[in-house]
Amino acid sequence: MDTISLLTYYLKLIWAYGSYYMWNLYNLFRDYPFEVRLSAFLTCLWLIMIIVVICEIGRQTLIKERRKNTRKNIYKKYGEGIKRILWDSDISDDLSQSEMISIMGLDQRQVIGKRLLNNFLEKQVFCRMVYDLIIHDYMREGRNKNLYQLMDLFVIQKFLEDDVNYGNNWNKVSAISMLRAFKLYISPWVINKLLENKSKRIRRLAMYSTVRAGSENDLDAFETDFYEKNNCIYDEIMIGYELQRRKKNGMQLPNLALWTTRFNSPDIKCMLVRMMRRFEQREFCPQLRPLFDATHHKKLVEEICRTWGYLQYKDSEDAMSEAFTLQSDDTKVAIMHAIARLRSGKNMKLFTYSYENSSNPHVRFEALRCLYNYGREGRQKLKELELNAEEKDKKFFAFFHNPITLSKIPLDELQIYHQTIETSFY
Amino acid sequence: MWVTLYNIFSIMVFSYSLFILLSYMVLVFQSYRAQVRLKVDLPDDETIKYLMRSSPLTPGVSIIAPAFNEEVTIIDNVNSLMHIDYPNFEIIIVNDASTDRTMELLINEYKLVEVPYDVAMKVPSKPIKRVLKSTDPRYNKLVVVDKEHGGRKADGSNAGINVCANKYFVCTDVDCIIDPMALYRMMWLVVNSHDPMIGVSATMLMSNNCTVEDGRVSEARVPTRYFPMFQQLEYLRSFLIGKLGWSNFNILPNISGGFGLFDTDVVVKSGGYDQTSMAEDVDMLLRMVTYMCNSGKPFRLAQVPKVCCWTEGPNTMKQLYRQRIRWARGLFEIISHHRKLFVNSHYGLFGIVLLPYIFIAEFLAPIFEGCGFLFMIWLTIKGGVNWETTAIIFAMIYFFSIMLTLFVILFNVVADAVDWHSKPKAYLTLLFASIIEPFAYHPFVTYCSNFGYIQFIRKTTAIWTPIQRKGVKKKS
Repeated sequence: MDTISLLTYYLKLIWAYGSYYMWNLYNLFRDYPFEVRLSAFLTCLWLIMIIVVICEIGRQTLIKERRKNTRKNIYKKYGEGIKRILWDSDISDDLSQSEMISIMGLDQRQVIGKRLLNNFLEKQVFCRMVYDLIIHDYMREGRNKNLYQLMDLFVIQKFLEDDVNYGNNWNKVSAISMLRAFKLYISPWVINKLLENKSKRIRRLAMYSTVRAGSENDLDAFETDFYEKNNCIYDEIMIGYELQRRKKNGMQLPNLALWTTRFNSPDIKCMLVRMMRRFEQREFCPQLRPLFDATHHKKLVEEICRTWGYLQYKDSEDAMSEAFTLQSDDTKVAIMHAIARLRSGKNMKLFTYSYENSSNPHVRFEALRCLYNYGREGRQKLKELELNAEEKDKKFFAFFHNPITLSKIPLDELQIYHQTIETSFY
Repeated sequence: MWVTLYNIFSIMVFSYSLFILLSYMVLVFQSYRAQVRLKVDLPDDETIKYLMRSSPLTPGVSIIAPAFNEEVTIIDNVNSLMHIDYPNFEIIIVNDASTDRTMELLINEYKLVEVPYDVAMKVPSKPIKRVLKSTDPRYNKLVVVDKEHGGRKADGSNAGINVCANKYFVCTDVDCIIDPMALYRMMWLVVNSHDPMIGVSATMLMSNNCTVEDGRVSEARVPTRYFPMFQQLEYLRSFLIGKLGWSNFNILPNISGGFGLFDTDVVVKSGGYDQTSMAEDVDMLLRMVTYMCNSGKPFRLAQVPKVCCWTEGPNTMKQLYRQRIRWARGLFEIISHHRKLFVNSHYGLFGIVLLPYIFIAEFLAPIFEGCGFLFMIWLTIKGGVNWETTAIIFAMIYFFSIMLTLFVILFNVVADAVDWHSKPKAYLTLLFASIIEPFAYHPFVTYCSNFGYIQFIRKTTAIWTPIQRKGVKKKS
């Protein structure tokens, strides 16, 4: 009897038994009211479901146990060797596969012509192990050539590509993340297919991969309705990583000011302007002027001002000071900080004016902070204002006398951007 | 006439039970869907950490923990908060004019000095006397706020909100043990959301019977004491089925006061915590939602399935009784204060689905159960009980409750909410709890709820009594 016939036989058997007992149950409660019949039916249903859930708990626990054991074995067999191959300073970055085999303590004769990883689970666990090692030690510069050789030795690229193409969504996400972490080539065909995926996370990962590829039309993949409707902070983090990586590798970065004209969403425009600041694209600052004049979006104006200030675009000072009075309080603060950063000496009166005339304590305090940051001239003015300050305003000046408070005043966003960003494998 | 009334009541109770069972099944299904979605969208802890820790764009979080007379545990608890792993956070301890040595211990241990601080009273709280910071760079994340006595956690939380400098804040109790990765998990959902995430709820469990090492739970166990064991089961059901299921519709019945993340701006614009409310956490969430809906702004709410926080639950019957009375009064208060949201399509699914559901399934449940119980006694005395029918209906409800516990266990295994995989004893304890719960625990909780409602109606003055903590097992 073949498998299908056997299966059909058992299914028929279960159906026959099921029908028999259901019929019995039906007859047993036939004369009872509807509520009782329904309750009896539901009780049977719950009992069946209890059995199914118990089986599922058992299955899931077994899967987890099996995975745990495989993980333990793989770590024991390859873990230490791989750590040495990827990070040991005594080992060169140009190892052959046979050298790797001997470093991992495997017998050459037993390994040659055989697959090192036997099944899907082992491959998955192995990839996860290398991935964990990489993300755990991401600060340390790995040995890239050894990593490629290792992937080749264990036939990982093919496995991950298959997972990206044919796996379920969870497998796709982990496979594409690993391909990126291992810096393996991902074919445009695969990426393009993923750009149409229903899962937002998969689409995002695919979009970031296109930025990494570094073609002329870097942000083409983002120019979609999907992105306009779904952009988030995480995108900025990831695009930032990719551009940082390209910068580190000496590749050209896109003209981000030009890209602001390609998107409709003000949030995306804000992100691009922030990126300009982060990647110090001074030469493109004048291109933001039409956007500054045309937009009424508060946040966008603030971002443009911050960028101009940070990138020392001196020609912007007049435009900013002209626009000052019409802006909201938050935008005024952004303009003041930008002007303070430019330090041209032309608009210091703007700070004293804001301190003296604003009703918003935040604006007043920020005006004083701008004076403090303006150098000797500004601090002199600050002292003068303090001498003439009323008792209720003295608290504003106390900040500039206490070193603990000053160091704890939330960092200016511009300073945050100045921090070094580690280039990640992503 | 009595017969007609009897029939109407029977049908009503039966339909009500069916509605509750059906709604739970819907939530189980939605929770399963949410877990499938989160399996793809929420990566493992190490990946989240790897992606977020080195980015300058990772948003900052303030952890607000009000403290009142906590001299025994304050230093351990603050040290535990310091163990949180996140690149950009501050800890704000709000001392609510403790009468013991809490403040003195904090000053000595962390070398605190008073600093000028421009505190804008964005939300109402008792006046802040001083703000202190440490001169030791190791504790540069710590801010201690010393304020006048407010007597409520809500007042302390509001004072913390007035001082907090970050866009997001987490409100917690000073004696909660927070998982070091908790902020990463919650903030991952925030940075991945297109619409502003105004609140994130995280799964909480009982710390009773757990072992704590270096300010973190090193060994999670199911409580073996009578009352905490049932509460563990309740918490798991509530977080892994209820809230996770609702979060799939972008609605949440509440974000626990013990551990929840909020958008500071939205909280300030909604007026902060209500100091007079007995259920300040639910009240604030509803006011936040009201504010967002009235302003026509889109928003998101989310639930993290993994356990992020451990808290000590009531150990004795007296403590549990007080807690449940407070909860029942809080629920009544919420229902009456926010009645304009009910069946109001302006507030989306909150108005159309969630609040009517809370009214029917949570508010009315103790009343129906109480009436049903009394009715049953009366029928027994009269000899009018059909025991066969009773047994069948009871079996339907009883097996459903066991099935629900099994689903909780399954979801825990699938979502890795808490690491009990190699401890079948934990699951067996939960199963045992669910088997005896309908007889040994549920009637007591029902009684407390009804008593709480009566107290609310009679306007008995509510007294906030903090739970007497027994402390957790510590391993040095």
